Amino acid sequence: MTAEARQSIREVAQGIRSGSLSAVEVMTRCLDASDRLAGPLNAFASRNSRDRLMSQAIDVDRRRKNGDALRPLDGIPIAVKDVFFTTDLPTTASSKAFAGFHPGEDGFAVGKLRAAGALVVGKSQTHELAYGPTTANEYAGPSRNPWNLAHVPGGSSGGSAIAVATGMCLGATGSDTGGSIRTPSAFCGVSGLKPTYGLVSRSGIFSLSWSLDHAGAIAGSADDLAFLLQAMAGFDPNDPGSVEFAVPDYVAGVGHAPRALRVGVPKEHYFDVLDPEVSQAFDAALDVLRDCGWTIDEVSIPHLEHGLGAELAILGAEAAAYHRDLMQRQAEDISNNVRRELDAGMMILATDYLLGQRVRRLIVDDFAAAFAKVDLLVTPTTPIPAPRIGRTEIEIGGKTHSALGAIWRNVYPTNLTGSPTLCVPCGFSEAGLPISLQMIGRNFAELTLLKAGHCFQSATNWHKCMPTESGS
Amino acid sequence: MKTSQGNPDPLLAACAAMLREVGGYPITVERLQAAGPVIREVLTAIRALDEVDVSRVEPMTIFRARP
Repeated sequence: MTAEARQSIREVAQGIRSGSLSAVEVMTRCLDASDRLAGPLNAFASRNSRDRLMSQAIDVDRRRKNGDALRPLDGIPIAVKDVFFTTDLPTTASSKAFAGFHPGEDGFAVGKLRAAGALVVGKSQTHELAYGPTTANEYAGPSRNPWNLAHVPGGSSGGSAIAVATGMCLGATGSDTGGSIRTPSAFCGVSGLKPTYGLVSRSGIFSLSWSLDHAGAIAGSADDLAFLLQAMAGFDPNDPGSVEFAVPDYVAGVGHAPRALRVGVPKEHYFDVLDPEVSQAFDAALDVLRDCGWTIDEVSIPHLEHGLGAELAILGAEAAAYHRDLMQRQAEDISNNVRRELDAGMMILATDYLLGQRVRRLIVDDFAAAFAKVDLLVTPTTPIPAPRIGRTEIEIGGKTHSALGAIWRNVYPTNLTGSPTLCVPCGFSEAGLPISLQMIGRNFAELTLLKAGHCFQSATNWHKCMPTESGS
Repeated sequence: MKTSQGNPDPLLAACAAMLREVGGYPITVERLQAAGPVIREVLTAIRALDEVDVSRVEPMTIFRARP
């Protein structure tokens, strides 16, 4: 890792606004990083041209010199996951099935980011159709972990996490149906936020499973995430899950230390499979939270033992229904590892899908009961650091576990509950792979979560570490 | 071959029949065999839900996040 401190969106935006930093300098730095690293890491499905991006950056600097008021993200380079529709670049879900697809419009959240001034560097690679946690994409080739190229970056928003981790951009969009923002953020050593279900619109995004899908962001810190969420959040009548909610001022509020928080550690599920190094980093993170003056207590979420069945019933049935026409028309254009998931989803009975939704409600009620006692839940984001590409099994304490099962077991529960969930780096394994802390909040309490994350990051430096360019 | 007729695996044979006769979604033996392990994993997890008492939850549930 390098000692070079990652620049925050707040610092860069203020620098551009004051003239101490130019948007051209910022864009040049990101494009240079992208030119060096995007290929070997397989970060992008497509990228805007240097000429176009530089002329957009020049325009930002020209407007500042003219005395125009700049918008919050003017001149901030971002990556957009390749499932979000964009006017200027194709949207392919990193799949042959959508090669060359131009939707002709921006998705709602992308439009809001552009309206806030963000400049879209490129479309970041995803696990094909966003259906998998590794971004080991059979069609587009495997994306690689910037901390060790032999390891997965996580997924499905793998390209977004890689691009942020390596400074190809300052922020990125992600979607999260079973942990797809948090897993790559954890494995790549960056911060990720899955907002409350309904806070950020999914219209203009390829769905995977509409009752579990969330749109959110990946960035260098909780403070950076406040800027992205500020731009992305808001009601959209075109998303049936969208909720009318008065969006707070995350950017102004994130730096205010939260009142004494009551933190809960779930008794069930999250610690059943746990790498010892992750366990150690999690315990050290709890000490940091105690040092913030917060209390830590155990809480119970008893129905979580049935979470996997509920998640698989809902995810499988909705994904198979959403892609049914595509599968009948051009199944041969979908890679084997995704096609078999979609074919399997066809075997889920409607009654089992609805049973999954009922069990989900029991889990939602368990979380609500826990949040009557605590303000936050904390867990390890993933129970293991990033596994090697192609590895299907891992061993912990002499027991063999499915690598894919381990990757997502701690993240899918809040796709079922819709709870806002933040992940922040909290250490490294001896092999130099990032480890991450997951913080779960009450519905629409993103500001509390971001404040908590900011407090943690004010007391630690894990989020400032960047991978060396050798990736080892 | 468009179906899994003659498939010795009873679960996959049942799946093939269901997809063909009920689902209007016939697939090849190769695809069904590739999906087999996923089908087994998903159905095992779902059948574990049979142990859960869901009587206090209305079946006509629609998921929304409540503030």
